[in-house]
Amino acid sequence: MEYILLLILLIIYAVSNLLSLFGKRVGASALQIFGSLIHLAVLIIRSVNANHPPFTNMYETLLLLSFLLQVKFLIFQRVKSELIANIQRAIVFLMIVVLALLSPESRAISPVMPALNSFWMYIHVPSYLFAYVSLFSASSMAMIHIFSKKSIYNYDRQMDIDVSLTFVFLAIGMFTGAIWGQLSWGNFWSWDPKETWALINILVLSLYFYKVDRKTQSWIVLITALTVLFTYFGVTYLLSGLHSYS
Amino acid sequence: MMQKVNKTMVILLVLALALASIVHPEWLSSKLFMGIYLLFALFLILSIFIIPDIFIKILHLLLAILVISFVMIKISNVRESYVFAEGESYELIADGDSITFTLEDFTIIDADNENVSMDYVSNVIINGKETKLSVNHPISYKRSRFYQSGYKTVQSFVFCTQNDTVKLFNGQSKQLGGQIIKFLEYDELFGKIAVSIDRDLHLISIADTSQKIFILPSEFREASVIEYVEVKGHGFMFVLGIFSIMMLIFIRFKVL
Repeated sequence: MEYILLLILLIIYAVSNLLSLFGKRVGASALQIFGSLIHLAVLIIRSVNANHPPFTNMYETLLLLSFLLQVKFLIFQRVKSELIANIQRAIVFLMIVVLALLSPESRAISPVMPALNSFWMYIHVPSYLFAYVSLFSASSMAMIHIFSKKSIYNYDRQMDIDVSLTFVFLAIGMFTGAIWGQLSWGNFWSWDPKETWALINILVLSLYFYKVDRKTQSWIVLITALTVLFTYFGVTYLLSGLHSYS
Repeated sequence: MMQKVNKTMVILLVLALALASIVHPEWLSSKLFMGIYLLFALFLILSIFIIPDIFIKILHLLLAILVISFVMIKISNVRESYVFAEGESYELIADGDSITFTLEDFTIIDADNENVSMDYVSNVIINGKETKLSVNHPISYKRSRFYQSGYKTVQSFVFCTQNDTVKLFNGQSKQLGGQIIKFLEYDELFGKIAVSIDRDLHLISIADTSQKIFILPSEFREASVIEYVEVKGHGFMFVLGIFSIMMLIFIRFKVL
């Protein structure tokens, strides 16, 4: 049931992307809104079935992340530039493709493991998700700065705000993670690969605040998006460590 | 000029961290890397006096504090891992005191209808006082803490003389034929067991009939793995708190 809905969602977003490519803005937006409702349905079904909030593994967090991203794109940031909107739709669509491609084992519902069974999970995981949402939102604008000749300088402020939010939420996530680590492993910071890459994200993004031109800032945002993607997928699947479940 | 050097430093550190985490994660907490982090922090602090931009100054100060506190945590924490079978008792040094630490019983709590564990609970007795220890709920003893980190399957062995038999887990000691025998260590590779009999060390092969004591492998059992940590990095929490709050305030002034 859940997987069938996910496939339907995939088709809806794909059609929405195609429509926007051919310039049919109204149809694309309508499908985007309809799709986000189904997206919410998938999330609710998953949470009810699993009996815990969707924070505990790659599949659940990616499902939530793509939904939050879609909500941000739809409600909080109604973009007037069709170019940015297209990129945003494509980002969410790509996430759903990855979700559909994940193996059935990683999609299976599993109970929360002992170390995750804590109050801090409800702050640590969402703050990183918010950070990623703001970062992907910023990178949708960064991509246009880099790859398109169209000027979107009236969105500069939006990009600054998004990057600032990313920075704040990365810091909060690190802070709560440290407290949780102290509670369950006895260490605020243990140089585990995931933690190291979280620090890398903060260091790379901190370059954004130097006095550099827009294009360099856009590259920094894009590179941070890449390191975040590696933190999210690469570290989980390639490197082992304390964070091996997420 | 200074900003360029700064950017180069950040990029170099990031590359070093990324490379180490992929090639050999242990390097990240090695002495060499501790030196690199401290150098980086020193550089950040020096740059505070040169860079005119107040925002960058504070950013550098926070990053420097962050990196230094990571190093301090690694240097200052004392960690020790103990494996307890049920009924086992150790004399431990905790925060300078000698304490008796006994594991009364150990339970793995499974999820309903699932073959997955939800929690590990150890009932322990510290200096005669009974307490419960579980994942995410450590016990404090003065400034040190005990953590439930998981469990390990351990094997027990039966030790026989001509007219007496005892069963021992690793680390336990009991009476055997009028002597006190203590199971010290099991060497899996050579199939030998180190025991102390009345304080004399003996290495005995398993199922060797030529020895005075005949040893046979016995049941497997889940033993609780408990981690002992001397916490000295409390300041770190404070530092990270400040880090987040300062970031919030400053970004508020900078762009929002």
